[in-house]
Amino acid sequence: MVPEVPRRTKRGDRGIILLGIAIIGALVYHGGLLLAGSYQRTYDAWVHIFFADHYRRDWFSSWEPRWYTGFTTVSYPPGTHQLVALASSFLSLPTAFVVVQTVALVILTIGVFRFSLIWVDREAAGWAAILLVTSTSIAETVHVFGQLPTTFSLGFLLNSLPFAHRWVKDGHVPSGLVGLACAAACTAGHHVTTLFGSVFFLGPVLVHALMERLRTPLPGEEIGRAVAVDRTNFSALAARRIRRILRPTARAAIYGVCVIVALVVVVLAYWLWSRSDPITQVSIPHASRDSFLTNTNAGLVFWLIPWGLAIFALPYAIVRGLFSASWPLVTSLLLLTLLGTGGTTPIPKLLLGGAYNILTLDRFTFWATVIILPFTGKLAASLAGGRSRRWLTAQVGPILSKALVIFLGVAALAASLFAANLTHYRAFQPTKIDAGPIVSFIEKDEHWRWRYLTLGFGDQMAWISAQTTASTVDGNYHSARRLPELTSTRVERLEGAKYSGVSGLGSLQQFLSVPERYHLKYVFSNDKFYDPLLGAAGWTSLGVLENGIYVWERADVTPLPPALVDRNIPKWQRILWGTLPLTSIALAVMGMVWALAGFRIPRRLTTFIAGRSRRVASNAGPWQFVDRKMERIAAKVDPNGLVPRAWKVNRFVNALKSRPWPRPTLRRRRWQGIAAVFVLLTIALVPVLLATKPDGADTVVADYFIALDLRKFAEAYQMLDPASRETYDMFRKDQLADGGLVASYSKLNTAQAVIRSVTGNRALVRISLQYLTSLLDYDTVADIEAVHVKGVWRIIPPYINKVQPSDKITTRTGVDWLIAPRSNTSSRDAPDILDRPRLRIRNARAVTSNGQWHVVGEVTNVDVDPADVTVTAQLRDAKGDLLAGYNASFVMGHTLFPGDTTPFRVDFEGVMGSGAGTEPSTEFNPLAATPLSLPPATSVATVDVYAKAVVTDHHFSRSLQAIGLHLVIDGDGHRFVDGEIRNDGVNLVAIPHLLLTYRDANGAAIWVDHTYLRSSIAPQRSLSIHIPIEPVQTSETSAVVRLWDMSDITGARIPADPPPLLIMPADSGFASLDVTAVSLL
Amino acid sequence: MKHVRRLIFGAVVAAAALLSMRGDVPVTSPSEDVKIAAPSHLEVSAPTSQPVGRDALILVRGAIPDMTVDIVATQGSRIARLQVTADRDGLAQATLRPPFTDRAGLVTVIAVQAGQKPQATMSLEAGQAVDPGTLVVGGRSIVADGADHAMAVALPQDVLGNPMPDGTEIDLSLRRPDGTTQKELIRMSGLLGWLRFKAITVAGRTASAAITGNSNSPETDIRETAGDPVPFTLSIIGPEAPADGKLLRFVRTSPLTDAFGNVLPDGTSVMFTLESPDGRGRAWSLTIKGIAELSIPASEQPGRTTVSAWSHGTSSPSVDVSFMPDVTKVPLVATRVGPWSIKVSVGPIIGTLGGYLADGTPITLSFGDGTNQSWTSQGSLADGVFEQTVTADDDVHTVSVSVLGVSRSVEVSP
Repeated sequence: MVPEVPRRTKRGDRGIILLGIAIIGALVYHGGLLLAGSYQRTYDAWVHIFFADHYRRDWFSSWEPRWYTGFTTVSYPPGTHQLVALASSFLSLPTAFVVVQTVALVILTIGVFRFSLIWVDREAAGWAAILLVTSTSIAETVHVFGQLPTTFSLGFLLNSLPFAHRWVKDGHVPSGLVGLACAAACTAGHHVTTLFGSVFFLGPVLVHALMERLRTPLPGEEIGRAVAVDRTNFSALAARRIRRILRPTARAAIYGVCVIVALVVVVLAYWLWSRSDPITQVSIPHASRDSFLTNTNAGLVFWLIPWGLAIFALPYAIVRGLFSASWPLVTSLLLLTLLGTGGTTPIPKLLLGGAYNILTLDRFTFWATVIILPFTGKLAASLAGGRSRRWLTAQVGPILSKALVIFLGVAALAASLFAANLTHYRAFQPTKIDAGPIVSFIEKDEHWRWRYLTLGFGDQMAWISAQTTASTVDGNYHSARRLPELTSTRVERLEGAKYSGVSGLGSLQQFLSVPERYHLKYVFSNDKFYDPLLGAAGWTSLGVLENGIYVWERADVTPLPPALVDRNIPKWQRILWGTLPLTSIALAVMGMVWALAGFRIPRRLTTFIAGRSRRVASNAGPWQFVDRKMERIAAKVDPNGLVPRAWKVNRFVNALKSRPWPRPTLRRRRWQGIAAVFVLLTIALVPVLLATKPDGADTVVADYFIALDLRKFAEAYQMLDPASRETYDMFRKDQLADGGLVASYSKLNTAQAVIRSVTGNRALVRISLQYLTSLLDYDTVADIEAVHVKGVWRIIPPYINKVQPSDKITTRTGVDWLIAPRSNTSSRDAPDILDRPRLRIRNARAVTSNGQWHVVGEVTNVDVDPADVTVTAQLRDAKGDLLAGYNASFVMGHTLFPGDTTPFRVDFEGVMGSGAGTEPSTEFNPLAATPLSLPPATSVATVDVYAKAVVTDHHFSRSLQAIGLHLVIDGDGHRFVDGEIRNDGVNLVAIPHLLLTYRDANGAAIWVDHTYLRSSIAPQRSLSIHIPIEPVQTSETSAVVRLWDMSDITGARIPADPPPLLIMPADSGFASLDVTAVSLL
Repeated sequence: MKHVRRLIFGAVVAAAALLSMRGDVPVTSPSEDVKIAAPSHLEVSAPTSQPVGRDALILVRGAIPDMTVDIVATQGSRIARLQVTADRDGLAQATLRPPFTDRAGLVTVIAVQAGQKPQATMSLEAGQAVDPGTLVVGGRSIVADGADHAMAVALPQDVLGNPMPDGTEIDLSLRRPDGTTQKELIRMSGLLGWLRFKAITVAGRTASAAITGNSNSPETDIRETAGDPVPFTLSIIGPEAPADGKLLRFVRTSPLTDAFGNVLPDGTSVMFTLESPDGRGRAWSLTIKGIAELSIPASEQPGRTTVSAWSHGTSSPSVDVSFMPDVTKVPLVATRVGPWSIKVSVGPIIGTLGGYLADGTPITLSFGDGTNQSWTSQGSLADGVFEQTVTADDDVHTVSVSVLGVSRSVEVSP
């Protein structure tokens, strides 16, 4: 398989032509798609653009304050980012990214060609380059994953390998130097590629070079292989072999050491940082570590698509490679293939150990699809005009064989196009968001003085960040996370918290509950799912921007201090970081151009190098000594015991090669052709047949609710029985009537349908639905009747309550407030400032429940303005030192009209997942809480409760009435509050929120609970409630509760208590129960 | 190179010193020189006082002729250093210039030569107060109860931002909510002039302004608001209504006022407590011109709903809102129309007026089977009739309906 002597034949020239086609293909195909904006829908492109923006703003800064309250950029190699930043001097950042990515792909194409030349002939190498351009793995990596460093660094790595091969094999110094420059450039782009590339790419090449030298006799050596190895000739034969590889081995070792040095030096700041600040965060789940048999979507994205048609060439590569001199490459290929299977088998975990949970294993599959290219190139060359094509022609005739080859080519191209456009069929990112209005909002009225958070933006949040100097607590590069609230969880990004189960929503809740801790004031939401969470945590919607993004604000959050923490690394490291990576890339490019020019060196320099080489050679005393010693021993080989014989390991393959393939008869060729067409048609038609198979009644019912959840109303309507369904307009109106928590702010987590019974053409199906919201999850079970009509099952429409209000027109008067905007005609701030409304904490109590600290109480707005209230509780030890502080978040009404009172409950929480034995679960559990972990040997002596407020003109309606409330006890002794919640206003109350205050005999709150109603309440309509009374068992603490509401200054008195609402039974432990109904949205 | 730089620097310093000695800059002559004897005969003098923002001439006598005298002027943490050369008579003069002389306050001047350090002091006086003056008033809303108070703080400044000296008179005017104007003369003390003033008993706006010399401040106002309400009453609006479960009746408070008759601000929350045959309840409303209104849906059962109200801890006497009976009979038919379907027909239901009950009258449908499993749904009448087909298996089921407190049940066999 390995060409003994490189020859420039016609086929060799064809290889260059094929390489040219591949380069043009890369430019036109991938460059065109990138220019068309494919990168905008990818996972990582915006992140790299953000990093480039960092270097564009300050080349030698290593501290980026805009994400994660600040992080160090030396946590990622800067080569590609600095190149994009450099190009952005002339182009826009996104265009610069496109240009650098396209150039990286060209370098990679050339690299694949040159790398393949080590293993196969030039024509096969040319085909390998073409197959790279049309490969699904490259299409996916570039146009779905948006990975620039991976393609960039792999290009340089592959280009370094022929140089390394020549240096080790022939001792060609310029090749060694250029190879090292390429390895350094690879490191500048992505150090992990150098690290693993040394094992999987460089390793086989070095072994291959050594094996070649092992088999190549030295000058003066007797030619031939020993007929037999015995005691008499063993040492001589061994000495002969050792002598052959002595110097190449030394060169390989030197090269290896130099690669390690380059790996360390080029990104020295990274290694120093990772040593001083090692990654201690909880690993983030990645679907590439899943079992692809159970998570078939992950298997599709991380295994099947990247492999594409190349998977069919894997057996060919194994057979051709394992029994030839290419066995090191095939070994690497097999290992990479195995590691790329993720959690499908336990082997990758066993092999990788602790690194398994850090690495994304799809990278191994990507490398496998590149390392196989020399073999697939060989196969393509063979199919195009070689032995395989001749065999095929002999079997099925020239026309069909040509058609089959064309079919394969078209299939490969189609697969590549499919992979490149995967984001069109299955959106991995939200629809493109116009960043302009958001950036304008941040720049307006000094909003950049606070931190912001994006929700539902996907990776586009990085593009928002790149366009502003404002900072966010979130980020899109999880390795750099610093806040314990993030590093202790499996949350990759807060902005996509709903995809991270309890860790995600729990972390998000913590940030939203105590936003002042992070100076977090604004949230830009592109996902209604989070609206209930924001509303419940006291955030106020400011409205919608021109691009459809909702802006939420939390009042009473202090701006960031003018001087932020700046943790730049030492200056000398920053200078190295800003210069060495680009220098190595420049050296690598210059070296490659030099190599293209044939390593021409000025004569004077040549003489100097030659002189040095001679001196080195003449000074190599120990080498010469060992060499002469070995030569003397090797000379003992008996020339008569040698036979001239080529290196052929596998006789089976050679036997196959030498086997004559007789041309089949015409009849047989026809049958084989028909069989081939049949197989191809079957492969094409099976998915179509599977897709058109009619669904069962259970599937139809489940699909109906899934379609409703996805707002595919037309699709859902088609599943209804045509005989009994309403008109489509009425159906749509009915579906949109409920704007409540489940109907409008949830995602359907599971839908399981079971057929209970079937009679005639009717079936009764029980559907179990689990809806996930940002506040709670809801389970629903319902029986649905289906009817078999014209061969398909259709649903009898479920009954929908259509009670109408009595009056055709209703009027309600109300009060609105307006706070004048910031004055822009006066330099004085004083007139703009309104007094903080006076509050009065009526009572407060510190209790514990299951080890968790709570503070419950009530607070009243005793002022004349509506107030946005924040209640904070702090635990202090006997010395007055602060142990913990937290806000009342979800269990209180945050907006209080003058005279209003709200109960509150402060739930002290530890950092999600930080406690012992609290490994965060990936299952969603909105009620999960992480208990506060106090330092050992500390006790809480005092609990300080603060109430503060600012005047607000954002408020919610107080139109809800709780009427007809009464206690009921079911047969099991469980107590409930029954009654109705009525909306007396003229606007929909989307999420009614009930606060339950349990009081003692003195009327003081001793426990506060709450519940959200799952349905909205339309204006002038009521909703029945049936709420279980399940107060938590609490223990009184000995801590002294101190109230801080400035009442000692303002002299505000505590208003008298109203009479209790519901008298509780004596055995309940409470004297009475009060219900407060507020509107969350 | 270093020597060249030193030479240039020396030349520049010398030139600056020469320029400062030319005396072509108009300076203020010392009106009354204060001479402080140096340990030997070196003396330094400066103007006792002068307005800020002008050059101040420093004279040094008794210096060694043709020798340099170092002059150091300090004001708080600010320092100015000058170097002058004495003439043949031992006289040297230097000028302190703005911006060093921009700040009001005492300046200490020290002349240093040959180990002697005589001192002089100079007072820089603030200029005339300029427009606009600053007047800050807070709290910005106080209770109009004759006891609460606010404070007005005037900060008159000259053109360079220096506060007026202590004792400067400020005329402070307050226009109170009752239309009266209150004038107060206050004096600067400790860099500001202030007045603590009490609220009056009339709610409204108090505007204030300060005049210092020729300087006027912008008008600044605060709110004087009503205090806690005194007990108020409730009244029922409209005639008695039928207990049809959907008509509304209204209860209105008397105007909520404080002890001085001030109406509570719009938006004051009033909490209503309700007690009816169905149970108890809470409802909230906001005042407009002191009055809060509550709408009460008619009960589905005849009877009374007792209503009382609370605001800022003050309550009203309760009132009873009555609802009269509206229905006597509920016809109900439930028939099985399919293997899993039961059709429920209710009505026609006749009201006390002899007509069908109004469309939208709520109806409660309960559906139970033999396993104690049941569910309830809400519906409404249309043309006095309610019909619904429900999904049910082939067990025995009990169908119950309830309309305006009248219930009826039937059993449906498989």
